[in-house]
Amino acid sequence: MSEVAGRIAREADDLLTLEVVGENLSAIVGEMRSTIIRTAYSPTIYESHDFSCVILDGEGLVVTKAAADSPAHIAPIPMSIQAVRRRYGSDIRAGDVFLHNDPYTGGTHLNDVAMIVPIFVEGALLCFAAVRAHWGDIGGMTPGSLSGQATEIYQEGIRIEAVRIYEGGTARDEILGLVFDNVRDEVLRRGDVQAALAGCAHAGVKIRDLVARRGIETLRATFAHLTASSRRRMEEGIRRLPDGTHAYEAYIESAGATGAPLLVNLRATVADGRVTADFSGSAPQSLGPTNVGPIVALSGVFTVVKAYCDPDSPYNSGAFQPLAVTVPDGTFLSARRPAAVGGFGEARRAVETAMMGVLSSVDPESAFGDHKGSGNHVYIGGLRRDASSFLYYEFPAAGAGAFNGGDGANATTGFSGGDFASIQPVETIESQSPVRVLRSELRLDSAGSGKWRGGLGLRRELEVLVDGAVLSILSDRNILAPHGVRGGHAGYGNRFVVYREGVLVEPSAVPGKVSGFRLRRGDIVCAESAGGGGFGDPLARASSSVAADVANGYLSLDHAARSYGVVIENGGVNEAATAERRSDLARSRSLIQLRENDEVEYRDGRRCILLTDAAARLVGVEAGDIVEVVNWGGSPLRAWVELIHRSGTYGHLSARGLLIAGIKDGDEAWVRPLAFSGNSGRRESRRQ
Amino acid sequence: MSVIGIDAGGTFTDVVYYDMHGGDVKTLKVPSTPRNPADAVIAGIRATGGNGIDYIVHGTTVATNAMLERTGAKVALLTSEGFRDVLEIGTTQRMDESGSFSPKIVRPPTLIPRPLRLEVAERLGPEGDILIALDEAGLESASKALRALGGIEAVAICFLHAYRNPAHEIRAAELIRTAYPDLFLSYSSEVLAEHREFRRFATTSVNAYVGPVMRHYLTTLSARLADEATGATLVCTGSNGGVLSPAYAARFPVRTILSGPVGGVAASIEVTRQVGCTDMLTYDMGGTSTDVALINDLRVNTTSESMIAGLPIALPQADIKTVGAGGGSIAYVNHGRLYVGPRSAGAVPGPAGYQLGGTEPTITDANLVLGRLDDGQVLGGAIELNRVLAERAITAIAGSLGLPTVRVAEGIVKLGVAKAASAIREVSVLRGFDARDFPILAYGGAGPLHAADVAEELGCRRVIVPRHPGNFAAFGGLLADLRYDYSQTYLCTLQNVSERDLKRSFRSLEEAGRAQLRRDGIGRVERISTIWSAAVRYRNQGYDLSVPLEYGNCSPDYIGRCFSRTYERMYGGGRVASAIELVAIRVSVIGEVVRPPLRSSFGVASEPLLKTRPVYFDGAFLTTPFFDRDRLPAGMSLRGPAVILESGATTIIPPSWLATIDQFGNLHLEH
Repeated sequence: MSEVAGRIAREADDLLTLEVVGENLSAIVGEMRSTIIRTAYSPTIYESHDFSCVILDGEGLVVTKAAADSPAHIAPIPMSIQAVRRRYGSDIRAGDVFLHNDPYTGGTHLNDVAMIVPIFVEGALLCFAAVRAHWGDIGGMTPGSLSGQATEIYQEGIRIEAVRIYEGGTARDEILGLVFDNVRDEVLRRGDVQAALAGCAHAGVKIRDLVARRGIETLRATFAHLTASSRRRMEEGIRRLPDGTHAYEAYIESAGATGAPLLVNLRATVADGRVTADFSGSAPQSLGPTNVGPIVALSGVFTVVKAYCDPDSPYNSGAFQPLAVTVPDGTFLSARRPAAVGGFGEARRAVETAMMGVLSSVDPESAFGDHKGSGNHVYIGGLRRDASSFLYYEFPAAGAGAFNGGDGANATTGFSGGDFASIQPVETIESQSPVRVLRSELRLDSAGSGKWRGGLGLRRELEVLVDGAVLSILSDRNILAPHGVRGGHAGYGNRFVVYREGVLVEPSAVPGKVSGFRLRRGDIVCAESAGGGGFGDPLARASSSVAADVANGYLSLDHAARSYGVVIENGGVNEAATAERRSDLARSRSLIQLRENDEVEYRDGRRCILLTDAAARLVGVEAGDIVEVVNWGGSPLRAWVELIHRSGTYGHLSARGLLIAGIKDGDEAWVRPLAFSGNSGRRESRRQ
Repeated sequence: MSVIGIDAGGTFTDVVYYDMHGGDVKTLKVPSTPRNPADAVIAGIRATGGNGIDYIVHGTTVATNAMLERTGAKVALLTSEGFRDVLEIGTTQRMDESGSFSPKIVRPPTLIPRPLRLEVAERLGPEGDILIALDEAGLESASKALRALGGIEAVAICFLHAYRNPAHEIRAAELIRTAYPDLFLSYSSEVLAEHREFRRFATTSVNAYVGPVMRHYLTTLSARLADEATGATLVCTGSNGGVLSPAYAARFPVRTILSGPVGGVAASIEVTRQVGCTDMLTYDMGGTSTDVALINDLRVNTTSESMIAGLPIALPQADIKTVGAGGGSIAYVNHGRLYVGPRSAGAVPGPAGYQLGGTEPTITDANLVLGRLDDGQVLGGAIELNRVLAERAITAIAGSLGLPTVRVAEGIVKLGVAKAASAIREVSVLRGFDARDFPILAYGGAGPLHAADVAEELGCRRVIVPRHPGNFAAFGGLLADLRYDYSQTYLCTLQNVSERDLKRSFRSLEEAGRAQLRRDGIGRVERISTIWSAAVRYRNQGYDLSVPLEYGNCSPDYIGRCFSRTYERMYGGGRVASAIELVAIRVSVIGEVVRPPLRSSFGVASEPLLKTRPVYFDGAFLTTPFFDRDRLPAGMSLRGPAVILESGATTIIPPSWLATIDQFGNLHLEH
């Protein structure tokens, strides 16, 4: 054999071996995952699967993850390893196990605790197995730890900036005791930690087996191969997008108790296989729970870029390398002690919404409506009649956004998260907690309308069967509902209320941010999740599809007529009346000429649009209301109305505002109120 | 007197005919007739030319296909008020195994559209206590509404907590049955009396959805069989590894829905016994997929967590893991990486080398390029393999990898092997068994071709290839016993149950099974045996372990000890002190049938060596002898490299492996 042929043969062997070893590593991660589900003690893990498993190389880069894992768990794990390294340096030995959850150094919220296990082969560190799992409680001021009213991190539980819980195979009981003494439901927490230990121990055994069969160099080469090919795939995906720079604004609608919104100001550039995202101009760190550490902006940008350009292939740390994310100090996206961070899920999704806004303008054909936009954490905690404690926890999924060619899925975990079961079986809830589920159904009329409509949200009614339980909720997009794209409407927002003896009670002054609201026996908690945003003009939706939605009970007759202009009589479409109604609706749209004016761009962190009195009347809004400026080639600009008392029918928007809305100075745009849809307090009465 | 096993697959209907007196076996294949599968079954029976047939075991995919192709019945649902969307909402998971980030989420549509889901006022609590009595008037009007819906063929009745107290479901069923005696009717507590409403409701809706189709099929088939083979008893293979009477299969067709690969596993248990083992890994590789299972102590594990067409089937079935890697799995290159499957070229156009118009490279093509399958070899009497076409298909993707064709072919085979090995690890390692301790039993058209490689990948030292590996599933049916499974939910700590109460419950489930066997009245049942097991977990856990119990022993202490032992084996010793909880008790009642002896003639005295050809092993083409399996006599041994040909399968013996033929004709490969 010639020298060249010999070299080709060796390289071929290498490449194929690496693929096979890569397959072995995926299998090991799958085994870790399954071990944990089967041995865990809390439903957050065994029913909801709110945890992720990875193998990282010796440098701490993620090499392999399980398919169902959450990118929000995965992206921060390398930083958690750096935190361990910073504290312990080279003092990391076989049999050690570390915990980390510090949000400021690579954690998410305190409940997500990373367990990190170094794997040694032949006396040297080869790689790490890690699990990031949501602890049902991590201490703090309310059961479940997440609270919409937290103002500093100390109220949210214990912060662990890397600690060794096993040393050389021996448990450090004094450290574990310190942790477990400060959380609720200690037995469940210990059970879950035991499950994660079993998963990591399993990975260690299997990795050592793999080394015995393949050799340590082959494993190292596989690690490098997997991260390099993941990076290459991402770069190639980004190259398929048109180059360009775009901007978008998204919000966390309320930063906890203050009720003030937090602006996410994003300017992003797609060029040469890279995406650069700059969050300069975003809101400062706030006194609410929706601040986040530095890693969350990166993971939010990543999920959306991935969704646009290469959704289907597996990924690892390599896929993050073509992304450059700038988060200036002092913003709520680069939180510092003692900022509260429980609402990391809300912040991550606000980042995602901003990135969706940017990419919907870059690639309008692939645009899709927004969804859920919130963790929707709902906790009911208290004592059973026998004085033992219980904790009910769900995070109801919402409707998915519509896309070109399809309606959003109903009540489905969104594309950007792990594939978690967001609700528990009714039969499990009722046998574990003094809570009775009265209804679990799709939420009528909640979908954002459009040529393609969003998915429907979920509606669950929970009756509390004991006195003295408390309700905590951490949610967003109750006011700024998930947006539609290219003319499609927003869905209904998330909404959480209590019915006491048939009367609606708001459990907090700020929607969706509830902390320790005291419930009475017989109270009914009504949790409604958002509908997905629509795609395209609702007047272009096939009337037969609208009729089918009515027949399915997804859409009321009234909504069919008002949003879609479809007139349905005796179950059938009246085509003549529909055509007439559709042209009426099209004519009556409030088109407003928008002129560039940078004088008042933001007030109190809110984007402003200045409307003359006549323009405001035409749109049907008053000062302080929120409007959408429709962008037919992307996502709508949202702005708060200020009035200018001048004659004429026009408005003022800043240059950047015009850019986001996709219009030029002096163009007319459809300005429409952001309806507070779904907040009518309607409730079918179950009992007299 | 003779017996027939018939396995109706997607492409071929496999038949095994056994003359119980003469003792000889006939195996054959006839083309399947998917539009009316009974045609192929009758054709297969005629083709055997046998008479005096008294027992027919039928593996059918009628229910499976109705699910996969969504051609089941128009079903209405009656459910507790407030919960008609349970079936649509599910767990809210996307259920996309690939972990895609695509925002274009499409969930499988529900089997019962929303307008056909009716609610009835009634409500039970978690202890089975009645919170709201069944609203009889509401039930009457729901019953009337069924007629207005038009064309309803089946009804599923699913109430919350019915696993604790079936009274409301039973009452509703009575009422509907009286009003509509011809409707197919299923209620959740008879289909699956276990908690978690979505899984139970979904399983029940599947049963109702495939019910009318299956009932019609079995009625038609029975009538035609009565014409063809007077007096023959028909039974169907079930997903649990046993066979079921046609009446039972027609009532609970969901219990046949994963019966495809079960026949092979049943036959594997018999071969395991025959070769003097108790443990075995089964490796069944066909055209589109690979099915693997683990036999421990001459039993196959069961699981209750299977899915079909995106819906959970929460019934106990043989724990068989399926992966999309078969001979027809397509290899492709994406962003410089080589992938194999799960997309398959199927039977048409099939692998490029089939000469049926396929151009994409498959695992079969890779084997052809490597000489492991022979150019010109004829498969199933119809398809002639062509190496040039296979090579062309692989060369087309080799270019983008910058590698020689032969190396890519080797890589494709290795990736297929790695996938099979991953699946085997899942049924072994994840259940606490070390795969290296097990021999591998290989069958299916492509199993014996890759078995030695899979064994090496897993660190196993022994492979067994049974007789007729290509018709093994049809064989299995003949060896399977009647088997009925029952369970009762407990959900309480072990210390709160008494041995007396448990014993009473076990006995009553057992009696239900015995009554079923009496109703079946199948003459071949020569003995009834019973397996007791318990589903147990630590308090607070969400998943339980199925713990086999010694028959008759059900003291809480004993159950606890069995559980701790099994748990430790699977997950290690570490755990948090908490009480042990009994989730459910389970009973399998088994009607053991007279088994045909496993033997067939082989090794007729003539020269077994057919030819020698170059075959690629580990970096080089080696001159390799090809043998005819039917002519290999008992006791003969062959040193690798060698290839053994027979109708329906090819066995590869790599260098450093030694093959011997045992007295039953099984091939033993050792390493």
